[in-house]
Amino acid sequence: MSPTLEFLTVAFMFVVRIAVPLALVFGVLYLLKRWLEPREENASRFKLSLVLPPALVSLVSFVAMVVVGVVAYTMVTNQFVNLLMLFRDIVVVLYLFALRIVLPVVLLLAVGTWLERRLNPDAVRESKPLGERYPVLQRIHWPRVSGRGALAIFLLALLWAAGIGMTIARFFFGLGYVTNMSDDFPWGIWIGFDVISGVALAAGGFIIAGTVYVFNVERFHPIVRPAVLTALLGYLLVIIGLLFDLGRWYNVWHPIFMWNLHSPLLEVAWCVMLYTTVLALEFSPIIFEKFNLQWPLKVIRAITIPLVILGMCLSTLHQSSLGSLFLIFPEKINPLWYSPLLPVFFFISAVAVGLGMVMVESNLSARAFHRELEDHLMRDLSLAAAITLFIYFALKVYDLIVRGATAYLTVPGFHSMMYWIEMGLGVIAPLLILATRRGRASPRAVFASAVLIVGGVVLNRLNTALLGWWAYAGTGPIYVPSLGELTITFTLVSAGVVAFGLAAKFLPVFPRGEHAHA
Amino acid sequence: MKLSRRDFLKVCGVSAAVLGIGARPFPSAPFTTGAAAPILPKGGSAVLIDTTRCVGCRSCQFACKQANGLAPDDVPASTLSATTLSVVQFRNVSTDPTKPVVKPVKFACMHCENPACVSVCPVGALVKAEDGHVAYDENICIGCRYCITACPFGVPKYNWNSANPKINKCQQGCMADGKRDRPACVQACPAQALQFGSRSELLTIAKDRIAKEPGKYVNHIYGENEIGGTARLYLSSIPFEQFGFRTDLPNEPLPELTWNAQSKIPAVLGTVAVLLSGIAWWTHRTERKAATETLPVSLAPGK
Repeated sequence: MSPTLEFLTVAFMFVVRIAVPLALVFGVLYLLKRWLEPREENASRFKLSLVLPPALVSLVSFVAMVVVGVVAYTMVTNQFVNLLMLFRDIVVVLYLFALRIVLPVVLLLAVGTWLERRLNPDAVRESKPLGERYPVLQRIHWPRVSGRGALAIFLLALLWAAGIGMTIARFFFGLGYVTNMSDDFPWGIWIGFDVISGVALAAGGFIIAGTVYVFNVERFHPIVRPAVLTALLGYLLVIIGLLFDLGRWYNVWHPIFMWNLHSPLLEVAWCVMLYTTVLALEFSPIIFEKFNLQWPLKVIRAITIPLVILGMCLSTLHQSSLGSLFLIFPEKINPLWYSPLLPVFFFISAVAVGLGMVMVESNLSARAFHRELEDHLMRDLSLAAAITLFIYFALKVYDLIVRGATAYLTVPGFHSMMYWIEMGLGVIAPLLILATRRGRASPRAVFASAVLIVGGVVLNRLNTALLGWWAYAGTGPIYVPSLGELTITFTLVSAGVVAFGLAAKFLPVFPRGEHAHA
Repeated sequence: MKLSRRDFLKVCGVSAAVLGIGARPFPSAPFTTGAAAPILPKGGSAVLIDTTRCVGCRSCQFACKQANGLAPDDVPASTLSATTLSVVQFRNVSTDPTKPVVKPVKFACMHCENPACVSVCPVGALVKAEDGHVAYDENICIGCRYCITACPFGVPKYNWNSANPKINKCQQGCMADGKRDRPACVQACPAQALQFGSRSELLTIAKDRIAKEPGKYVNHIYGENEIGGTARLYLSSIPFEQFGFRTDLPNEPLPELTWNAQSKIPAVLGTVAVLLSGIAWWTHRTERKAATETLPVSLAPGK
């Protein structure tokens, strides 16, 4: 170890081990003193909003310092893992502290409170709000969040913190560190769910936009914007998910210039790039309206119809090409799923799940933003979904019979079970519900069948890309997604939901008049 | 192998033309031609692997490691991996579970004539080089691992624990420096089990051997027709199925399965575009007649 490095290490350790803890202790003591001190009535109260910006700035600069330090250390010593080892004791102490002290205290308090309420109900009636019992709490202006909201924020923060950790691990150490993928299972849940299912789930955008602008069915206008927003967020998440999955992600731009026209993946890459651009343009009037930019609005409106037609062409191509991805290994996938018609199946089921997602999203946002659900539109959509599902079902059955693969339906085992679940719950059940006038008239039945359609198509994609492979029907080792992979997947999905909520709150996504007030 | 000067010049001319036409942004190392380049056998090179002669000494495995500068193993590897591009596998070929019979077989990239990996690579990082081997260029690769998924032999291997991973497989990298006239594994074989030459020549040799000793060999050359043929040809004394080779593969090249669908894209695109434009034109006819506003349709939310 060179003298400079030694000095740097000692200085760094001094700061981390002595200066920072001392500063923390004194800072906390000072804050406590300020809070607890009696003050005059008109003295300004402590406001969280005043502290938050400087706190954020210091946090960001601290993180930046750590990143710079880590990069410098890694470049000098080429040993990243050793650096982590320096902090192992701190992590262990924090972990033990949480496990041995924080957790027992919280448990004790919880049990005590519960016992107190059970044994002495009078005390509950007398109990005062927390703020009155501890006046110090009144000094803080908490953001107004309901109990459920606070829990959701807490869980989200936990998930996203884990997601950031997994992201760092994946990009510093490689895929093997975070995922359970291997040479035997080179594609995992990031491809099977985040990318292949994600593209299908985002199909609602081109269907509703096409209905309104190409088929000129004006009454679907109120749900165009939410559908386009869902699709845009979906495609952005697909691209982010792809960046996680690509081993050499820094080469992600290569498909723009380097073409192998034989590869369905090249076509998917091009269509996803172009269609995301189209979706961004279709979404842009919302931004222009928000900031009252008139001439870009005019330009976009002038090219709306060609843009929507382009989007529909691109969607037709890549929704089906995702099915073509699997054509080249007939011997690896159970004939229940492998078929030369895979591209056709993928396209039709994408239409069905696009309609399903629009229904699910309308129901959920009606509930979340206290809006009225467009019942008559849902009825029309569910009829369209029923027709699509019927075509899909008939073609699936025809294909099984023509290929002579019906025997696989009755082979007991994992594959036939998954196929029956997929077709039974995801296709036949919603088809039966939505085929009846009564089923389509009931908003709850429509919502339930929409959820079934979405689940069925996701299961179909997972079966084709993963579970339907012969390895899963055998006795050998199989791929099961790791916690790290699931963390990233859930982080992306939750980020999409949060982004939708924020956009719905701050942008004119839903029709005016009944604007969000949640 | 006899090769006249005239033939050599022909090959050089053809390769130059092919290289010129097929110029790519980042040509990979195996593509360089020049004075140092070895004389390429006509019609693509191949290796004939006579498993009846193999003694299981693993010389080819070690020679491959040495020639490619790969990390040695403590215990000789029994499967392909990111650091083992060629392997000798000891397979149990006995039909009686109580009496195992172990036979050695050399296994590495089969260098298919119509490779699935080359067909699926979206950016063309994998190419069938004109001397017969399947080359890989890490500078083009995006790491999508479609080639690993698509390979029917499970050959490409990935650096799972690297932030800068590559696809690892035999690319005849041992011959890239031009110092060898045949791959290191062929050079190292002490039992004449491996033979390097043009594919057509080797097929004739293999058929001769089967014809001379029909009792010794199974009447099948593995790799002659499997998935459209491979540049690694196997001879065996026991049925290939029993030997652990994949015999469920079709004789048609696998890329055709994808191409059947891919080739329809222009037609589908044209049909969909014309159809939708026509529908849009028809459904907006009344608004065009009215023509009170410049454009009646907008992305504005409904009333």
